[in-house]
Amino acid sequence: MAGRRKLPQRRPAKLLTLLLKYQQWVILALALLLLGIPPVINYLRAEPLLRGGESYYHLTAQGREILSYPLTAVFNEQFLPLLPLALAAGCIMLFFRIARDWEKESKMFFLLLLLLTPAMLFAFSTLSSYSYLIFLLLLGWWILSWPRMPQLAALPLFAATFIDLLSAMLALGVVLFHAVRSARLSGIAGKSKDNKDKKEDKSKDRNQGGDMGNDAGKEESSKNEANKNKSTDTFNTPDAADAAAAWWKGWHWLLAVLLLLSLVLQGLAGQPFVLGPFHEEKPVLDIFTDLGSISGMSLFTILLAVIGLAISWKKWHPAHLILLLGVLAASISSHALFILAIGIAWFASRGFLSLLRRSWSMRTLKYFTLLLLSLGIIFSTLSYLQRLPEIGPSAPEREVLSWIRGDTASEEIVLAAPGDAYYVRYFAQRQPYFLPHRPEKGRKEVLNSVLAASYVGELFPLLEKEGISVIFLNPELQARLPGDYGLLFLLKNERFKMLYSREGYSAWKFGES
Amino acid sequence: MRFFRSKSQGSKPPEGRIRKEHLLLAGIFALVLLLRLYLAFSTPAFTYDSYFHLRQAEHIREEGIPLYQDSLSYGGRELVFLPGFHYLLALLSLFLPLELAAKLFPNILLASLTLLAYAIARKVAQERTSALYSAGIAGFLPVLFSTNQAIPRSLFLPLLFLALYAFLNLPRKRFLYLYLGSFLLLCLTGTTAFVIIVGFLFYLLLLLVEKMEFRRAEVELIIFSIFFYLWSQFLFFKENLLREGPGFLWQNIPPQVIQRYFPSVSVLDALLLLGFIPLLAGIYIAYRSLFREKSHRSILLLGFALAVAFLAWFRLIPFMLALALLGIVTAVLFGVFFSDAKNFIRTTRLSRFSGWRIGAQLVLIALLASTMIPVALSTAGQQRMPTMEEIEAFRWLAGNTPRGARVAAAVEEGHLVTYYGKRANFMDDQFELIPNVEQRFRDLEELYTTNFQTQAIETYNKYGVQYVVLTPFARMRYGIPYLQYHSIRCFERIYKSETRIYRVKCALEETNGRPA
Repeated sequence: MAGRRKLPQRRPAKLLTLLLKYQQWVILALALLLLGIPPVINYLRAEPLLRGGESYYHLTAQGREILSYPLTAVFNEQFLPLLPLALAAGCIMLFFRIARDWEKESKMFFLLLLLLTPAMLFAFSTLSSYSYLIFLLLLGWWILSWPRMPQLAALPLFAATFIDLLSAMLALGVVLFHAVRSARLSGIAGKSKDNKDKKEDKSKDRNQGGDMGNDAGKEESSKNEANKNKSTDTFNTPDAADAAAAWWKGWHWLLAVLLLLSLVLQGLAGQPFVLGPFHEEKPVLDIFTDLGSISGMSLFTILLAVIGLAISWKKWHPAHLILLLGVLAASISSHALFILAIGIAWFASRGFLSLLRRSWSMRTLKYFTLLLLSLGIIFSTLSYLQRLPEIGPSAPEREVLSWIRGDTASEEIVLAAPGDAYYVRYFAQRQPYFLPHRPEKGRKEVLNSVLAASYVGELFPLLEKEGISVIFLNPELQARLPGDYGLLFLLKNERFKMLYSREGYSAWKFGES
Repeated sequence: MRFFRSKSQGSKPPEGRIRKEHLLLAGIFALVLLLRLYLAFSTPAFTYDSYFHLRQAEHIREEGIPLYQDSLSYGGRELVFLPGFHYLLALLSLFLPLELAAKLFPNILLASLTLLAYAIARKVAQERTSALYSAGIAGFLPVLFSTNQAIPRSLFLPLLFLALYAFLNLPRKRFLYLYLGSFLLLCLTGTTAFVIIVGFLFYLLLLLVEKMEFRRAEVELIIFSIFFYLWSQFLFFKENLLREGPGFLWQNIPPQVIQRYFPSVSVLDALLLLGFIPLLAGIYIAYRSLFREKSHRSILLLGFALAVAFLAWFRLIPFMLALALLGIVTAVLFGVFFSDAKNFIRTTRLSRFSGWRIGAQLVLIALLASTMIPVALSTAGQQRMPTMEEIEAFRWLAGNTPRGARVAAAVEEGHLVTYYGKRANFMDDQFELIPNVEQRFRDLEELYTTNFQTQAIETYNKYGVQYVVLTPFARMRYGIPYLQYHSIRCFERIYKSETRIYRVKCALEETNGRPA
């Protein structure tokens, strides 16, 4: 924006200035509003407040899985629906603490785009390991910046390593990145001492510091800013940088080695690279919310990110690494889309700002394009929010599953759609046959064979061999299966007895011949 | 006829004066239009798919809005489509009878491709005479000679090339507005408007590969176009995208008929439909644009052609649309080729013989005409349309069956049931958002081909069908002389002509072991 002629501020410009000034509170309020809508709707509809398979995975994980979400054990179940909201608020506050030296516009557009990303909305409206992870990483980063007792950062960072291998890698990445940044800052501080007098006047005129990949000039301006706030954010001042560098020399290797050790141990203990998925994956489709994914990203955001990437691909930026890691993680499991979403949101904000700042040959077209973009992203988010309460479990589903609990023996194995497995485990308190996050060898094939079976001669031996005694069907599955033949037709056989049925959900008991 | 006189040779007439080329262009346009209208009016019917659009235009004329909640199609369904073409047809039908407007409007639009091909070729080749060849080739493209077809494609094609022409003239302000207007209407006419966007992306890619500079206004307009297209399509098809995912592009077409929309066509067929000479010339110009003379204009056309080929290869656009688009692009490229050839000949001794030049042109015109016009006429003759006798039978349904009746007819005839018969059909070719469409398609085939009465009656009962129409077309389509399971007891023949209409009298009931 530098070098532009100063014009009298118009109303939209004034509004933007106000938004920028109070962005922390605006974004916090928006986040609470957006994330608060789905639980309120669910409460009004008398539906379960916690949504998504992962929430129920965590609720039933104790004693079954390696503990990854201790908060379910700490908090009372009644307060758990509020936990994602609290984590979101915590993350936003921490982010603003950490990104004090970012350019205001970058900070606001990045957070806004991230907040409007369905992957983010999904993660922060369910009990998700990744919302917990982000909170821990931000907390760790913030503590690392403390002038005193930065060693305390080890606590949240260690906690993060227990989620999955990706989380452990990210925790390690945070320490390494922080160390490199501190070392770089101290180097810049050393150089800048020689030219301090010359540059002082210039730096006063400059805007606030740069983004994560800020250059030397931007660092200069961040120093001025940081000097004013020495008590809270001493990270970017020369003194703080020196302190950080000194700390780094003493502690960095120990913390990094310990985190690496934790990563190796987690790997040896059989922790997955990515925890999840908790639904039936659709490899590429899961990325696009507009194509029916339960999280993912808006196509508009992705296209903006492409623009952002195109204009910044020549210059290295840490967000490139996040994007790369996100792509890698998302290709392993669509549950890790959240990491990719952070990278995408960052580049999308770059893209948006470049479109905003670029002087177009036709100004009206520019504003119209930006309006279309904003509307596109908002429509996509609103459409997703509309769908969010529909993500299971629903009240009738809970009812049918509760019926299974009351009507079957505790050792019965229930065959259900992959997305319903965790609801079966929680509401029916029975063992689901197939768990998508930990698929046992051959079970997916058996599940598919059961769903595709056309004759009793195919179906019954499979059910008997695998010990499946209850079949739970949801409306989506029933719509997908043919009615005139296949499983739905075979359920009319005398060996099946309907236990309970409600609004398209049904439970069938497979009995002896 | 001094076709070879170039701009520099001849005296330039003042702006606004009618030139010889303009008269020739008007002549080509008139010839194409007259031929199209003659063929269109030689039979009063339309192609089977046109009746859906006629019904929508009729509804817009009467109610002001499209029929998005159709109570007759599939016995009642939700339907989402882009209404640009239907609104324009409805507007025309305020002044003319609908069926007359539906004959005139698409044919005028498709004949106008001659004018657009001329304008684009003139812009690319920078020469008027060669552009006339482009106009002629575009006008007689065999693939576009479905003269009795009133479908959105007839508006889509001229709009697309109008947008392309406006894009070629950027950054002039009036062309910017022309582009915006045509692109807006294009996005309201066909979802396949993404062809132009993919074309632009290929264009940028080629510029990048050729290390040519990006023009700022063009890049801005491309960015705008991408976002506007996405936004407009999301507004209309949000629900379809959520339900069908990327399968939305294939319109939920059952696998049994998908071959018809995306056929595997032999090279020879493609050559015939595009015209052998223009295609060869187009390939030569593509080569020249890429490796020898690099101009933004020809690279844009080439990028567009590559995009069409790419999308057709991956079956992302219907094959006939791809052929039509490629046909017009090759027509334009032929103009460039002709201009090149003319300049080349001018450097040789042949240029001294003016008689030879005229002779060569006459041979070329004869060659083009002989390879294109017969195929175009043959395409027009092969259009699939109902006969008048069949139409009469469907009209009869409206007055002689109860209002809520459901009628089974061949898939292609589904719109005849709703348009002429005003009754609910079993199925038609608008497959979007229909659950288990494949099963329904199988069931319909079974209704016509099964030998077993109980099986047929079970299907009639399942879908609540009370009437079945057996036209000569359905006989041919399903390869049956009559309904094999027909019996006087269960099927009453209520329309006795070449086309037969039966009323279903029986229903299957549970009888506790006793016969029904």
